[in-house]
Amino acid sequence: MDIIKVEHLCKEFSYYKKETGLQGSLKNLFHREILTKEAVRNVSFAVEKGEIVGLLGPNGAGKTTTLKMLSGILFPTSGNAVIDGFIPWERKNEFKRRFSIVMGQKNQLWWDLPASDSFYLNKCIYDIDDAAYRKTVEELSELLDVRELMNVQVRRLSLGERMKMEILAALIHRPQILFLDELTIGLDIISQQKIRDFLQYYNEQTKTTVILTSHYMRDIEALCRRAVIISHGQLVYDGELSKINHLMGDKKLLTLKGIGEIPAEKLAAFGRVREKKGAETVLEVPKDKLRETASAILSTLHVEDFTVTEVPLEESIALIFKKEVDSL
Amino acid sequence: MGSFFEDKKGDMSKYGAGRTFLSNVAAAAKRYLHLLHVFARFSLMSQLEYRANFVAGVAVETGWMLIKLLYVAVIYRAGINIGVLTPDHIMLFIGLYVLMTGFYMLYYGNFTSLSTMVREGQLDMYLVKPMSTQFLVTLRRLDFSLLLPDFVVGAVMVGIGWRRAGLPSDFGTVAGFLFLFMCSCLLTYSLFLIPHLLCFWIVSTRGITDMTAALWDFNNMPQMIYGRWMQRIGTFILPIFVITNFPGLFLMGELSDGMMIWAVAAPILAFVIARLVWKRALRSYTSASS
Amino acid sequence: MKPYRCVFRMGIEKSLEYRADFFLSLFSAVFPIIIQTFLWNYLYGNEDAAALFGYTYNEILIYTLLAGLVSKLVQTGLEYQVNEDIKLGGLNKYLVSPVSYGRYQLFSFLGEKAPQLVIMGAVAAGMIAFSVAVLGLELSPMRVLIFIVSLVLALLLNFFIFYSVALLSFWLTDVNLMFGTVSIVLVVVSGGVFPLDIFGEKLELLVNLLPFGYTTQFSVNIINGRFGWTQIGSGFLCQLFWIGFFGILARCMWKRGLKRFTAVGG
Repeated sequence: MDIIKVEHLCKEFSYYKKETGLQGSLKNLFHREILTKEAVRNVSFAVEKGEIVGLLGPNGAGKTTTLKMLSGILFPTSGNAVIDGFIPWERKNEFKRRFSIVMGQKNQLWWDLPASDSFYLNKCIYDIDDAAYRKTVEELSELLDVRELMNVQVRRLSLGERMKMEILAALIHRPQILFLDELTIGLDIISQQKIRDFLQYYNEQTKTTVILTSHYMRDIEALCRRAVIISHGQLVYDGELSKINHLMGDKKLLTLKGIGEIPAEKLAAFGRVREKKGAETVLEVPKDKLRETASAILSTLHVEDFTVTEVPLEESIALIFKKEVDSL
Repeated sequence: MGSFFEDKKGDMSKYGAGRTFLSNVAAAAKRYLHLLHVFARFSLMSQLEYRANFVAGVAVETGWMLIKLLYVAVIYRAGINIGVLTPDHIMLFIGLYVLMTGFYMLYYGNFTSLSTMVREGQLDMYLVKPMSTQFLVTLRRLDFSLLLPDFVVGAVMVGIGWRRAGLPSDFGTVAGFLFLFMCSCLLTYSLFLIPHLLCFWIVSTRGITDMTAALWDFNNMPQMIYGRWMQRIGTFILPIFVITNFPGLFLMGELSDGMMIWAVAAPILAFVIARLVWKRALRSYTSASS
Repeated sequence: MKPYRCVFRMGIEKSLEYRADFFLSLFSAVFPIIIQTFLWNYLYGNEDAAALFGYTYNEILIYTLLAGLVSKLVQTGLEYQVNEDIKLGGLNKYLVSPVSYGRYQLFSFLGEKAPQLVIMGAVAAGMIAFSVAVLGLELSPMRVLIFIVSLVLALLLNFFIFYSVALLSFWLTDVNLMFGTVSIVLVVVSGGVFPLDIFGEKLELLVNLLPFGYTTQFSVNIINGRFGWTQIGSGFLCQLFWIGFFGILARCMWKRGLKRFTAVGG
């Protein structure tokens, strides 16, 4: 069952063009040129209940705008979205009780008070009864490992701790759908890891549907089986994360270290040379020719060390973005 | 952990159709009042975290008040009557103005920070809450350091003026006065929220703040000092005079029945308009911001 | 000087960008004048107020008009920007660049004022003409010239006063609301709403001793002919003294505040 269904979603922003300098200001005084920017163009996808979907794309691709439309913060210019039977931008209270959005850049906790006070505020806002509220806070604070921090003012918490509290605050009403926007931005590796683990566990246990955007490929790789990739406001890929490499031509990387330097033209005969640093070379080889190429290399060249790796996912995705730009 | 979804449905049924309209309204009112109480408590707790700030706030507001007292000094010095108002009545009116300023200042910070919230998108976090966004945004922070001096001095001035002018203090009068005072509070909130909502369309709001502050000052003096036409405008078109003059006039028995109705109707009307403008503003936010 | 010329130009651009703001703010200067005029009408219409206050009806109207104008002219607004810089760490970018923050603010302030001065100058000329034609103000070219000089100094003085107030942001949080009230209070104690000498000689003496009167009341008293040449002379000395005083105060506050700022880490 699709809990989220997005069809032909579009969003345009209009803004003023401002020329630089004093002359521009004076010109602006009398005439303002209005420009439009298409932030999201004709995006469609669907998400099943309990899925974790990664929303990927370079900066300014329209990820956050999409999430904002799905949470009813923004009105789309055209297109439809239905989430659990609701149209988000109608902003019905009943709908608002079913989801939560956490944005890495925006906070809802009261800065000068302990986080527990902000939780209590959310309890009042979402009208949760005492027993359920207590249980939720207890269980989640245990899982997030913030029990001892409950009575510390938010401004005294570290960035990672604060983010955990933000997540906890967003889960007080046990939403069925969770939108996470750049959660791990600026966090250290350990905090990132912990938040990732928590989300994975939480999703498994509660079958909460999650859409998340992140700059860190690791977040996405660890949490999502499926990715939706947006570039320049357009959907360019929707499918399993593991199939992205396949889409990009199924290549493998051969890293070899020769005994002494091997001339580049000799190497080029086996595949595309991606990188060459002294004795070490990285070759790009089609997957189906891997076996023969490898044995050919071993038999003709003096190789000391030899490894086979996947093309990093980041690279494939970057390629997808690039392809998108080229085709424009 | 497995318990997370089980009692989900139970919590939803509370908002189902089983309840009558009236009890729904009562439940909502209770919830909003409770939340207001929580906001007050949290604001006070936050404010007391910064004691120097609290003291500075009280000091500055006291300075402001002393200046308003200068006006009383001018009046007493000249010893004049304004229409039917003796200096004691004028003291009552200015006291009402000071008192009402305290209540206005209580939530005023939310109005001025609205523009920052719009610009930096902090509004987003309030839009997704299942409650009135306007309520959450405009009454979230309550400033007690500003209320305190105004409330104390304003109340004393009202008390002195009331006594010295020999105005009645039976139950009916006091109850009527308090009721009108509450109407004035609603009118203040609605009337002065509207210009601040312009920040959804224009970036810099310094001018709006200046403007509303200057408008607010019209009540520094009883409305009778202004010309006939200005009094009409200030009563019916931009009803700022209603805010502090009507409760005073009521005490003096000078408020006609027609005006009495207007004293109640104006706040409701202003509130409705403020709501409409708010909705408009929000629509522009949700369709334009990035 | 080159970077500051740039800052000055940016100030001009900023004020053109926010022109709606400026006009609203200018428009709101009319209200206190209206309120005050009605109050004077009443006070002068009923009692022998002229003897009581020491101003004739026309004199007090002239004062109200000009004071409203002058206090708008010298109005600052940089305190909000400074507070934001200190609170949100925007200060850092000035600390690493070779410009002085105080001077940056000064030139940005002057730049923002410049386009406003053009419009305000026209309004002022109109008001002064009105005062001369209708209210019987006597004017000599010399006085106008000295008035303009005093205005420039008043502008500087007010800048330094508010810059000092703004630097309180190093020690206080959440000062934005307070700034609004501080400026209302200062406008009144500067004589921007009514002349403070109507309250008798004691208060007049106090006003002469305090710095605030030199941002507004002093300039008005020059153009309305109330001050004789000796008073004008000593007034200028006081104005200069206070500019120096607040300049040094701001410097000290800046040094101490900065230590605190860097210690906390922004």
